[in-house]
Amino acid sequence: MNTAFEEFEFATTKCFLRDQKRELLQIFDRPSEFMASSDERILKYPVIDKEELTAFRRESVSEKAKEKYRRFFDEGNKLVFIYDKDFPPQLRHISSPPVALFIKGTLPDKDEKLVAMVGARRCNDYGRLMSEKIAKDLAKNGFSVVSGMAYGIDGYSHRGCIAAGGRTYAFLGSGTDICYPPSNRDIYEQIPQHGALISEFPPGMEPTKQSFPDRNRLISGMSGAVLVMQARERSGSLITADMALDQGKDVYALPGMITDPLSSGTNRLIWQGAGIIRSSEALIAQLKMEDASFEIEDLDEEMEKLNLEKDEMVVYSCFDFCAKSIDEVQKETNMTLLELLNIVVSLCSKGYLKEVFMNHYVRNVPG
Amino acid sequence: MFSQITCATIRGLKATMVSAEASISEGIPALIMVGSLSGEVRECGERVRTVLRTVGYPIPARHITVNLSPADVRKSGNGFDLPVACSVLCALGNIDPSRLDGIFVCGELRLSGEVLSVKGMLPMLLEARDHGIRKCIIPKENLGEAMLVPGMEAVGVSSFQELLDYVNNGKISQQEINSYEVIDEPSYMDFSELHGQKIPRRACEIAAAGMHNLLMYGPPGAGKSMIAKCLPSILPPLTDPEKLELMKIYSICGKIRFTYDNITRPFRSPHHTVTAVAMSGGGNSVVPGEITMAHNGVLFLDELPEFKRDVLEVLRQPLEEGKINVVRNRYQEEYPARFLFVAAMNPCKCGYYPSSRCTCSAPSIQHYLSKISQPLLDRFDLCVQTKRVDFFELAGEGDDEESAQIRERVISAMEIQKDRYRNEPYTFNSQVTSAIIEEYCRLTSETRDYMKQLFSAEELTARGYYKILKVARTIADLAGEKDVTKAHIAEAGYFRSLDRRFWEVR
Repeated sequence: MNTAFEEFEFATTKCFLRDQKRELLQIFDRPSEFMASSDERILKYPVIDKEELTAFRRESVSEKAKEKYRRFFDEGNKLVFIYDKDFPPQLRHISSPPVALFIKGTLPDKDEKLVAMVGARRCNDYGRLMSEKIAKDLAKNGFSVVSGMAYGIDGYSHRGCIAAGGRTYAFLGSGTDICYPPSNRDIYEQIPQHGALISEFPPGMEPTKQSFPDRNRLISGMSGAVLVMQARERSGSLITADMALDQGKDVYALPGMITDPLSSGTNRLIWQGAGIIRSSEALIAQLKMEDASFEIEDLDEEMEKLNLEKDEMVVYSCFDFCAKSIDEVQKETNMTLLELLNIVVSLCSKGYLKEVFMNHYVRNVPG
Repeated sequence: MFSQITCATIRGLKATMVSAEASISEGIPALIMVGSLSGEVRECGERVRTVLRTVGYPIPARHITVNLSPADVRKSGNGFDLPVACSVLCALGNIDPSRLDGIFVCGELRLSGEVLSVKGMLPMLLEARDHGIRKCIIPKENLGEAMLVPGMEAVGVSSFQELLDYVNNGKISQQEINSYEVIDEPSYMDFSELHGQKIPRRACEIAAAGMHNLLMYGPPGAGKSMIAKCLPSILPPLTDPEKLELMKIYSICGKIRFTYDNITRPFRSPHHTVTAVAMSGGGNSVVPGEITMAHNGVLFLDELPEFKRDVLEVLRQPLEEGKINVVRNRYQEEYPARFLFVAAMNPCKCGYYPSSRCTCSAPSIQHYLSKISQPLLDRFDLCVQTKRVDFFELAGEGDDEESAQIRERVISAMEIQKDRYRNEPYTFNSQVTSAIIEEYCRLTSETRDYMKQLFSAEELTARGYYKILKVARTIADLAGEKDVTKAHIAEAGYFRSLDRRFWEVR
């Protein structure tokens, strides 16, 4: 038996809880030493009982465990223990730190600047577009994006970061060999090349209700700052934000309209004193500890710079970053349906607008 | 002694002529009935025996055989009591058989001798007339249906005694045609009762003009059902052959309570708990289903995704062929089922997708649309989103057009189509097959470019492309224009069918 297998078996076993494993490591220092110790010696400490130990002993000699071990390492995955020098130092000091992390990809460098982006699974187009844009801008400015690969904000943040060539890390609520949610397979496959899929859960484990809040503490613990992009009141993202505050991290929130339930949570964070995301430039300046008091470029002026004809400008200005339907715009502009459709189709083909639902369009964020 | 009386049985919407034969012979006293009979026909021997005794012709202790011929046609229905009774009396010599020669007889008997009405009288009389029969004795309650069959002289009887009076003495009791009570009257609404909803109105107009199936989606309370109820009011009035077809269907269902002139386009809206058999037709004693009841009218399915999948799949053949073949263990019937298919659905379980008010999870949104199969979704040429009408539209007055005005435009667009397709097997733009529609829509190069732009912007499939062409053709017909222009294509594109892409939430 080799040390690597013993470590793997110790990290994957479900016979002990996370806290038990940590206590065992405090006593025995290394999994191999624990496994080499006699039952009498182990049971002398009030950490695990005889049944748990027997079950573990049986499991550790099973063919299934070896097979799992072989498959995990054959696929080029890594396992880092809390005592390894590769283990992210930030995570050593959070409350209830993980005993070990399963990694598919490459862990961040010591001096890499990590920013977490979290938010609603069911976000709207504003949340999607802003997450993509800010993730891109962060990536261009040398920040890496940490998130949870869930539906909505998480997925768009990873995508934006990858699109700008940045590095991104996803903490999963399942084993690293499971793609959840399945519709995020695209990023599940890309992230290992642009960062890492990281999980404290053993390979083969399906996500559970509890595993998501568990991994949220790692997302905030890993990062220097946490951005909450969109959240309803009483949502999981707000719990992550609370955790981040407990861990002493900066929390920033993206403001939204007060009529939008998807922004009520983020607006509340701002009211509570979280940093406000005025623009991605201002945010990045703040993250870099630079002066962020500068004025944001006039959005109207910026639009003037677009190469649009008068009618196109009228139509374009009616649209927003929240989906708006053709008929709403028709009422505003008093154009005929044909005129309007004509302009909308041409704005779409030029890339200024994007259809996000049947006859509903949003502004497309360039770059 | 041998005798025979002409009657009929119903198969699908058509009747088959049957002759009721009776023969008296020596042997064990009995009344035996043969000839591929269903339960209700088999029982008729017992009723006849009792009624004959009541009216004073007790059956002698002889061996009586009643045969309903031809033997290979299954006889069902409640109209055989009267012909069997007549046949037996003729065989016994109590009636002069020549008095019933060439007369069609049909009716159910109560033990008191009263004659009850029969389902499906109209198709039977039509068939009888086609066989050269010019006279019939039927229940008084069915006289209204006989009026629809020109060249058929009808004698209505309300009791067996009246029948005997007529046959033996030529005495005809007072003939009165029941004034029909109206049941199941389709509840249309007029578009003038609908406020605002400009775009769904327009979708209805196009749907009616080209007989394009229409799918409406939108949040609860956005008036989807109300719009659907308005739709029959803009379809052209029924033609005489269409009316007759409907009367046949109602006759078979025993629902012939409309006066002929009042009959209007049906509007059926079965609840989503409907079973596949109720939808298609069938059952133990075969009856037409909802789709046949909606023939020549509108079939409206509210909450489309809530329907059971097998119920929805039933619709595929009728939507394609305008009829349904109901094949069961013991019968195979064909019913007409050509209707305008209108459906309404919420975009998701809570009804508010894609707005922020939606509280559904991403998989649940995708799952909701996936309850409708792609082949069924493809049957909708037109899709339109309905929105809640705001106060100003509700309170606003004036510009809500009446159905009659819209109907005029629909009729003229239909005339154009009829003229264009006069040598073809189809009548409406929606029925033209994909490959051929391009011949009827000559596009200028500018329009073609626009179509290409649309095509790439909206990731249209080939099927979607042809559907847009068909709808654009109808829009051009509504405008009375010969060529399909960019404007028509643009509008058709606006009403294009649901794109699953937008339900794939990530």
